[in-house]
Amino acid sequence: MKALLRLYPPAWRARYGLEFEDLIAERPPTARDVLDILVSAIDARIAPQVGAEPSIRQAHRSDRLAGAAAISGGLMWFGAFVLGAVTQPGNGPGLLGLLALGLMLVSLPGRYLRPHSHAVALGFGAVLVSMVVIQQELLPWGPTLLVPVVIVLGAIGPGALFLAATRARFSTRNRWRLLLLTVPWPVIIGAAAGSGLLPEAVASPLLIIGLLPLGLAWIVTGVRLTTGAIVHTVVTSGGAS
Amino acid sequence: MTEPLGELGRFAEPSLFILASLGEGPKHGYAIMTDVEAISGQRMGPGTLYAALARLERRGLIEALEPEDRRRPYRLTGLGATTLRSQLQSLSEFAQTGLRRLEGADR
Repeated sequence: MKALLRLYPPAWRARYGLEFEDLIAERPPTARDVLDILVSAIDARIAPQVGAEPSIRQAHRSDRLAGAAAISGGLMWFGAFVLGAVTQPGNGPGLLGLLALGLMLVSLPGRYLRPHSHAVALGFGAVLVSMVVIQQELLPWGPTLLVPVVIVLGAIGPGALFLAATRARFSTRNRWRLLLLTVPWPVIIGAAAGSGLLPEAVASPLLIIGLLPLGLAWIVTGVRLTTGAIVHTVVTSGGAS
Repeated sequence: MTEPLGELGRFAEPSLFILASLGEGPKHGYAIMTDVEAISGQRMGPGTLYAALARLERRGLIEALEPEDRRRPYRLTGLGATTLRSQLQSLSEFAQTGLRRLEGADR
């Protein structure tokens, strides 16, 4: 039954945990009670009643939305590469990958994006249009766009992950670890493939494997965004009474 | 001023039961649960009980007393008592109106 209690947010457990455990001990829950507890634990996370002032709850909710976007983006990233590898070998992540990138961007803190919103929109718009051109082979010179697109994404990608990790309140050391564990692999494999050290038959699947940690990093960041926000709420409000 | 329980959504009815249970004096979670089942005839799950208690406490309709071991009793606040009275009066008026109409239709 302690496992059920763990489904509730920390602030809720701090306030009601002991008496709730006592109640459960007094009357062992039926299957219907277990379902009731599950639903209520979800409710306690979606609409927290303990320890949060309305303004903080607002920030909390936006962090959870950002976390959900990061998790969805990370999962979609996996789907894009796995599906792409199965259905269109050698063609990359396709439009699903673009959507994954878009979702990941939702996780970024508005305070970083807002002052440069036009530049960000222009940059990503150009990348998106270029990738559609490349994917759909709309123009004969489309493939030549690949190099600038890779450069732009290569520059923006790690920065975006770093900002999302900052929002998720990872320590500086962990933010750098996240980058070091995810960014070098596609670069190393891509460079090896470009220089002819790796045959194409090996390079393509290796590149896909090398890009997957990036999706995993976004999922981890999304989970941290969701749970970290709850910890922040407890700390900010001085704990539950 | 009384806070309407309707804003509590699906927890409005359990909340009213809890307030009615605490109307006779402070009780802890388990006592509230068994009392609510006795007066309403409906089983209240532990998750629903504490979700409703948290909402009532947050809105100042009930307050927690000093814990007794691991149990913490709750009691109605002044606002909670006023809200309960107002809700019960509305229900009573509604019930009387409905009964009067039924009697009128029977004639």
